[in-house]
Amino acid sequence: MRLPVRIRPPRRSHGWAGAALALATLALAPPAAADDPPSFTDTDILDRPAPYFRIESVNLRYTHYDQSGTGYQSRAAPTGGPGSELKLVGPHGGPGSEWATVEQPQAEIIAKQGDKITHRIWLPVDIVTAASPDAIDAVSTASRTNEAGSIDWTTTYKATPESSLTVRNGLHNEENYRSWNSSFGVTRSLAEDNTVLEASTTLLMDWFDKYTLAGAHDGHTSRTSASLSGGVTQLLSPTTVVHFDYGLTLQRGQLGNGWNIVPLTTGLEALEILPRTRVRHAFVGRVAQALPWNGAAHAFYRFYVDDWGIRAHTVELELYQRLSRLSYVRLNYRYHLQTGADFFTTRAPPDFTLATADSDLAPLDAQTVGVKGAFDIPVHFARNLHADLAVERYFRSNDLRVSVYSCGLGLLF
Amino acid sequence: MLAASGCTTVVGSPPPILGSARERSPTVPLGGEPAATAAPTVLPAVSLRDLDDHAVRLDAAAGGKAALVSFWATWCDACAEEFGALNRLAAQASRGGGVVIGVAVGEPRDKAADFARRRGLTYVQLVDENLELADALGQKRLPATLVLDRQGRVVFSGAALDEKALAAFRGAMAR
Amino acid sequence: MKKALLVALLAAGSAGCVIVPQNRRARLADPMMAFTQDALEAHRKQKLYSTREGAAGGDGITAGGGCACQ
Repeated sequence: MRLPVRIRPPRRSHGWAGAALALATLALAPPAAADDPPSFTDTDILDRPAPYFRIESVNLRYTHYDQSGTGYQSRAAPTGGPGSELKLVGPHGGPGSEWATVEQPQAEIIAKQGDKITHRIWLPVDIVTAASPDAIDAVSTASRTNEAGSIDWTTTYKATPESSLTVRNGLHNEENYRSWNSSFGVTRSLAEDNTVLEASTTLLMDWFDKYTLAGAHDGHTSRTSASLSGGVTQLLSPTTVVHFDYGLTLQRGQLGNGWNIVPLTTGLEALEILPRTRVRHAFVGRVAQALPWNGAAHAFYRFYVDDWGIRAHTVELELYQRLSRLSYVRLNYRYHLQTGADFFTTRAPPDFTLATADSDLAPLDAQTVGVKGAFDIPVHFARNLHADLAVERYFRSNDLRVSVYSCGLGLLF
Repeated sequence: MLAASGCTTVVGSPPPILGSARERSPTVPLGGEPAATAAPTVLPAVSLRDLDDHAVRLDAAAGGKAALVSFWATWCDACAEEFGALNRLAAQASRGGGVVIGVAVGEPRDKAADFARRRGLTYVQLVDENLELADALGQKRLPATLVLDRQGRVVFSGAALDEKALAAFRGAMAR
Repeated sequence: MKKALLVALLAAGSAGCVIVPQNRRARLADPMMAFTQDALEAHRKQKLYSTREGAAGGDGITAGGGCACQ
């Protein structure tokens, strides 16, 4: 005989006792909407404080300059056939060769120390291979390739959320030239960072070798430069920002390189003689404007004047276009127009007191056209990886042309 | 300095004496102590959009729970530094009768949605594309943090997420 | 009138005008809007001009014409 397997549901109680029991249960139960009281602590939620010392970013850049052209200050012979670069500019010579290539790697590390201090270490190197325009190579090609390196350390202290102090020191060393520079700057923001004021002062001292016309070492010489600059940056609208600044530089000492030559009316040549002082002023205005189609335009104007008689105007325009969330392209154009130094000449009388044939100090105009592409690449080991490539062509009215190829890589941690 | 307030302008001319670091957006909130409200204030009657483009008010999104509201933007690095903490807070708060709500200000809805998805933001997201709520609340900073009580009233107003905001949120959840 | 306008501009400039609140700087935060994208690029541009134009400098940068730089 099999027992029944069907389970019957319990009978519902409809009695008053059951109802009273249900009501009592409801009255004693906690509110239906209440959850557990919050039990998390600040430590559970907030990120751990950042390490006291941490690397914030590392940036690298490599630039190649390819220069061609001529200049009367150059000892390298008129552009010509093989071996001509070893000949001096003779009575029938024209301007010397200014061909050069420059390899310029740069490295920069930015590190934070605590919450208020930022350090920047910058290491640029220049490897210059030139037509040997310098005095040493009037005799040999010992300086055909010249290496120069610098180390520069900048420390910024954020004294308050609105103000910061910056101190910078740098050393530069190359074949026959050493330089030390030191700077101090302050910035102050106003009106919820709509306005930023800045001021800085720089002192620079250079020591380098002197040479005779024949290329023999002739002791040492030096120069000092002191500059003051001040500026203001102002937000004009959610899409417009402007910047203005003024800089004054005072220089004293040997202000040339010591081996530039000046062709004489007699057909011979002599070392250039520059004034021992120079006072220079520069006024700069910039504007950046965001464009409605996800682009931006920058305009830059600079007026320069000094007591050597040089007056210059420089205009630069840049047009940016964002291609995607992670990339943009930039086109840039620059026009520069300058008068020459009062004592610039390509043929000086033999009894001159001041004269230079340095093509940089000549009346000239110059143009630059360039294009750059920039990319931000998401990576898991850093906040951002930035890469850019730029190509520029610079050409000057007095026979100088430079092609510039530059690539940069930056990691933001 | 301008960069520290949300602008990429690297001040300092000539470089690199000043402005050598590239700062894209606020790394510190504007100066000044965040202020708790003296008395609870009613939210303005401004409608936001959720990521599915439905109109919703902030207090309705809180659904009768205490809420910590974080105003952010895709370009704001200081806001991004809080995302991990807000995700953790959202998980803890859901067990304690609270909710975390993010409000993307000044951004198109689809851009905010794409960003939130890529960054793995797990808490409720609303969009104040035309800054109507931010303006009505007088909120100009990024990031900005509000705490709402269960009645949808503002009981705390501050800048970045910090101990004070968390204390106010715990208090609102416990009441 | 012109004098009053100039005084007003100077006063506004010296105090700093709060024209753009922090939460409205989305376009300004784009790297394309930075005057200097990065210091290394600024240096290589500066070097190109300061070693080839006598009118460089005067804004805290020395050199320019006869500096021996390449």
